[in-house]
Amino acid sequence: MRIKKFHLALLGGTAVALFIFGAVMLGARPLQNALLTVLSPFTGAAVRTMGWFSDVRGMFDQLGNGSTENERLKAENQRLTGMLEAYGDTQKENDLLRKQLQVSSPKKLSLILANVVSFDPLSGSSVVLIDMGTNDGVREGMPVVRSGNVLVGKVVQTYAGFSRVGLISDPNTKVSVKTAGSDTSGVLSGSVGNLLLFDLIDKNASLNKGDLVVTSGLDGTYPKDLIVGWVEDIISNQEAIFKQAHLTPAYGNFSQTQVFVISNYLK
Amino acid sequence: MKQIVSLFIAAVLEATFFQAWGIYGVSFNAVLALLVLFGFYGGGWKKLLFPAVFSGIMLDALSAAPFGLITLDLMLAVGLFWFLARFIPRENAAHFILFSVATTAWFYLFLSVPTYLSGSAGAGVLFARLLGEVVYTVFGAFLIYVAVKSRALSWLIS
Repeated sequence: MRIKKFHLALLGGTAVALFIFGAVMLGARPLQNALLTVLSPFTGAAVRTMGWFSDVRGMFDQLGNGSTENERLKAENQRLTGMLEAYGDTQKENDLLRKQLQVSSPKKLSLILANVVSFDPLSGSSVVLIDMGTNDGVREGMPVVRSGNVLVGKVVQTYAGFSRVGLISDPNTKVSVKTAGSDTSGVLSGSVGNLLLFDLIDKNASLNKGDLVVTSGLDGTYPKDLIVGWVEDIISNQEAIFKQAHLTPAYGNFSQTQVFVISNYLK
Repeated sequence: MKQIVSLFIAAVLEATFFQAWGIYGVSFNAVLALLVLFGFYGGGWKKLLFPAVFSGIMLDALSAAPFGLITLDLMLAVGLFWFLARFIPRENAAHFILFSVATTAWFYLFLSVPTYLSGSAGAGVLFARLLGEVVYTVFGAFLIYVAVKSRALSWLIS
């Protein structure tokens, strides 16, 4: 009798689950959007609290390393000021050449500001949920960045008011990248942990620890020159055709909860 | 009611803090741990069905996986709980940890099948993740057991 009751209950529960599962075929996205509308204020508050904790920790870290950090920033500031002056001259020269050759300026990126409201409870933190969806002009495949042109990933799923963003740390993501200085190119994919894998690098190409890696724009998915990360370690094998490297992602640990969806790049 | 509220909080934490604190994509499954706790102390599998469907729908909404998959998986975990309860008495910490570990392993084993078939991850990676989840669960279940026994969480099962 007890077993019979259990079977009935389990069958009932499984039927409910199957019904919900089947709803995918009939369009579960409106239902999911409605549920996310209820859940997102709570998860969003939790994500903002995480950001606040991260900021406070950063503040304490800065207090601890105050003088050293200050010296490092002063040196960095001097170096960047020099670069900015050189960049100004190059920009003028570039504009002049464009006029002479009658070449149009590159298209400015149009951005949609969104807040990160939760992470995927199953895929670790390689997928995040943002509070902008199809109603706001977001479409699947659109690249997502953080302030400072730092690449985060691309939109993989959309709802009316929300979207899921697959981060570049997802093992399924592939991005065409190059180093900022030497133009050493390769393909980036997610890796175990918080590192990224810079793969298919020419064995003889120049690559050093700390090199800045940016998007090359060759894949047509991401605009060129978005910051991806820095070379952490180089994996070189004498017998392999290509060399690989691990990168530290530039987007950090999501202490900032705002991202930008690039809405005018996707064709 | 307090079960539903605690499962709601656990689902929110699972989609935020626990993911940020996860190591190599492995994080503590608080919802499953609470469900086992409710089943272990609060009247067995019958009391688990509604909370499992409720928390499954919440996790399904927050996850990119096909909608309903987690609900179905949690129902299967309840099935395993019923099976274990027929042979193992619900008495002490070791039994509680055993129930927690078995349901967690079962839950992730089921979830790994579509991931493996889609080619998103190899068997080695999935096995490592399963192992990680089990290790997390042993620690998590032990802490929950201690909290319940020390009355910090006893209101959850009273």
